[in-house]
Amino acid sequence: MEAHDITLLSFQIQEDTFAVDALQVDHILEVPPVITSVPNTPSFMKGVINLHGNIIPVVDMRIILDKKDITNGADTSIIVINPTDQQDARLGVLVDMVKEVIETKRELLKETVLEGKKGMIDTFEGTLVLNDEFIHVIDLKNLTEVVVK
Amino acid sequence: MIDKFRAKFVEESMDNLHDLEEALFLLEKDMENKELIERIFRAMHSLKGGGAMFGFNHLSDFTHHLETIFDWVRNGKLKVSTDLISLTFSAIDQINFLLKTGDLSKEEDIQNQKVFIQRIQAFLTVTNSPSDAASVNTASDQEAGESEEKSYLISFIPQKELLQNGTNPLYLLDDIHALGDALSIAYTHKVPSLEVLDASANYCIWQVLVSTAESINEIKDVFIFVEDECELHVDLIAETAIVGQPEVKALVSKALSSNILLTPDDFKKGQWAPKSQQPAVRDEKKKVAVKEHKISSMRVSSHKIDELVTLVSELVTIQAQLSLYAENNEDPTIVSLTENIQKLSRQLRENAFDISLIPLQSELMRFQRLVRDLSKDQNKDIDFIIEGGDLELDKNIIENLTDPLLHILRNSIDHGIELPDERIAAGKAPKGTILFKAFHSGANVIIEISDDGKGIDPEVILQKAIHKGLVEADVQLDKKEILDLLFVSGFSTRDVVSDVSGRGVGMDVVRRKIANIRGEVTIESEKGKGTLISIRLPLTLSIIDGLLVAVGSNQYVIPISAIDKIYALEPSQLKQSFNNVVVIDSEQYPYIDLRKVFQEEEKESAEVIQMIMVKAEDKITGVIVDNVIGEYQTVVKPLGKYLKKQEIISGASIMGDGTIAMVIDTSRLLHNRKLKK
Amino acid sequence: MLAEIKKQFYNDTLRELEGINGKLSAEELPVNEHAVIAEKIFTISHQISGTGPMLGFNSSSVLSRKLEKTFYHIRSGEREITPQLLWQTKRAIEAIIKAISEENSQKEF
Repeated sequence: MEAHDITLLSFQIQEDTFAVDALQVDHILEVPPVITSVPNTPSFMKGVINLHGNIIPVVDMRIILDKKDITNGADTSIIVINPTDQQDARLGVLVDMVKEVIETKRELLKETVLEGKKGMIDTFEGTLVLNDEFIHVIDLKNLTEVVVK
Repeated sequence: MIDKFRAKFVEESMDNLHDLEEALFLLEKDMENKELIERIFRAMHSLKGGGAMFGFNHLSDFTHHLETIFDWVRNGKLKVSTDLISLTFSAIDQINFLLKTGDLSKEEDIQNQKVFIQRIQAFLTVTNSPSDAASVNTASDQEAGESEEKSYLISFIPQKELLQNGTNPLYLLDDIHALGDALSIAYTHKVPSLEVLDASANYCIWQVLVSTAESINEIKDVFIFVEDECELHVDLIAETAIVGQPEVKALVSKALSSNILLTPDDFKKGQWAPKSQQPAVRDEKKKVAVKEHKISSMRVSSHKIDELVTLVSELVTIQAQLSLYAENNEDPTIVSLTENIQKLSRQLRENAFDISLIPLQSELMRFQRLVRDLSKDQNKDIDFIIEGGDLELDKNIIENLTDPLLHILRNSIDHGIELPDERIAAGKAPKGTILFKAFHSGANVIIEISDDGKGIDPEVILQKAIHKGLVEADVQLDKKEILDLLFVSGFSTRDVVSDVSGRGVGMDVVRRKIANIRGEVTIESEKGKGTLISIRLPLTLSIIDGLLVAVGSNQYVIPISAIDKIYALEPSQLKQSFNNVVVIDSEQYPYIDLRKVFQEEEKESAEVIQMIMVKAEDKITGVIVDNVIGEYQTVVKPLGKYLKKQEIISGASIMGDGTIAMVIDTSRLLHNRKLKK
Repeated sequence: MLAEIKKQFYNDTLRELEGINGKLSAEELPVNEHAVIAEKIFTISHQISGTGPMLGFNSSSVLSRKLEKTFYHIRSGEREITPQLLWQTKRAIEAIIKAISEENSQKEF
């Protein structure tokens, strides 16, 4: 059944690989020279950027996942997601490196089992095992809830 | 194609209804006003004509009767009365219904309409003296002896210039229809494609079949002032009234589909039976839009305007980047070109934003209607006064504002204003007043709805809140805090089922809806005196004149409208200050240090401290920033839903170099400070 | 000076036209008034079609010339006044009023 096909965009955060539903990805951007910080916001909220005249908030996925020793390198990118397809619901997600687009089937997702809690994220959509690598698929609904909280 | 015209007609008719309603409200206050009567007549007239043209036959028939009434009124045959106005108001609802549903198909609806038409006709018969019935053109011609009716085929082939002489062919067709049962056919096959169409020219040809007791000369007289600009044939086709008979309709639809004009011979074959006693379906006209001579305004879908505004914002941003580049490159040609582009894009932006604003007025008619209808239903006498209706707001704000406002007004009528004798007993004028006031205040728009009704008893509210378990029984609240309970969800009493809302019912919803557009709603009330509800709205999504300032590494915009003055202070002046109050020109002002609010480091080395005096709620408060950069006119963009909690920042603006400056909501800033104390 | 005349012309014409229009609006015009109103309409339409264009009121001249012609025939008895004719006359006069007031408001006197 075609309905079960899913497309994922995978990305790297330090030693771990994650993915998001590619259909909900709007843009992939290089990190701009300036991310304007917004005062009095949680530390994962890096600030806002100007994307074609629209203001997009950017969160640092590494902080959300409770990683230490965060450094930005040449591969650091922003994945702009749009979970509800509304202008004001777009969110930039800062990751260490964008990897690849994966075509797969929903049935192949296994329940995510993680050693310890992954920062502020409560649930994942599942985990895909590909070439001996674990790819955890982020539940964007959960992510946006974390951000609004 | 025709569907498109139909949709357009409905849209325009809604405007027309709006105008009609407005005129009716004014007429109620000034029943002799000729101009208003004329306006109402015209509105009915165009609804009738347009209705017939676009296949809204029931609408056309219905408005025809109303038109007749107002024709009588304007000719002094009938006097305007409250009853007539009420009837017309309900007729507006019926018209609205007909516009939305098109021709009626449900038997029930058809019956209702018939009853309604009888009510309208009752107005005509009550005052209809015998001599009036003899008057020709306009009065209903149903009474005319049907046996004397003959049928004519009128072929009206205007030259292109017809419209240029101030002649509206639709009037002429109307006059023919007024002579008796008539069917119009508009031939539009000569209308050229849009590219070569001359809007001031006429391309249509009409044929009208009419059954009338009037003479052929009477028919020709209709065209007396256009005879030079048209070819006109009036032929007798039958000695009886044949319009409305199926054979005739078949001929008409054949002519319409084939674009071949009917000739008198076409009717010779028919054996026409005498007209049946049942009233024929009238006004089955099929015409196509005739270009009106002048277009002073046009409709554009709001989606297109949103797109325009977005594009213009982008243009302005890029233009600013260009300016920056030009400055750095000192090429005189580029500099001067850039300046011109800057001027143009500024104008373009102002225009685009101006287009996207709509006056509050557009919604006020609904409010007036609500007040009128509800007060009539409840036998209350209410003067509804509107101030500041011309205030313009972003359409997104207005769209989200209507429901809460309707709700508030409903509350005022249902529970605020008392019955006339209750008012007299309370020592008030029998007529209550509801004042709707909209005005700019600083960077906000304030809408106030106040009534001089019975007000709210805080004790009752408190008891109810205790009863509902919203607050503890021994709670100590001041009056303001008690009234605020009205907005708490769960306060509403839904156990009373009626279309009349309880004061407090749904006020939580009102607050939530207003909060969605970043507005605030507050309530004040004095028992026995009245209630004031005030809504404070931001100007998000619109452009503001702002003062660009720097705090730490960021830039912020403070709306100029909120700024009173800017002072440069010696650091020593602050050092002497106590409890965040500074003395300037021997006046004491509280102040806020934005660097502390935003948790930025203070620059100790500063020689001068810039203090911006911001006014809010009649108070002036100083705001300290690192640096004042200058004035900017800027587009406020929303921060998106993830930063909604960020209260002090109401939006963000994209600067010329593409960087972002955040727009400070000064009243929230000052408000938050008060809360923290 | 010219502006003064224009203004005068506009005001007088408008007043006259509105007077006639008012008469035509009254239920049915008594037959004994027919001659008087026909004379009035003839005169005013003659004035509009003659003097109007000179003073910059162009748009109504075609229509007023038609009125003039029709009422010329009525005056001379070649044509009869019918209710329909009066109705159409009212329409024409309304159109003229509209046209000249539009022209008037467009002009800077």
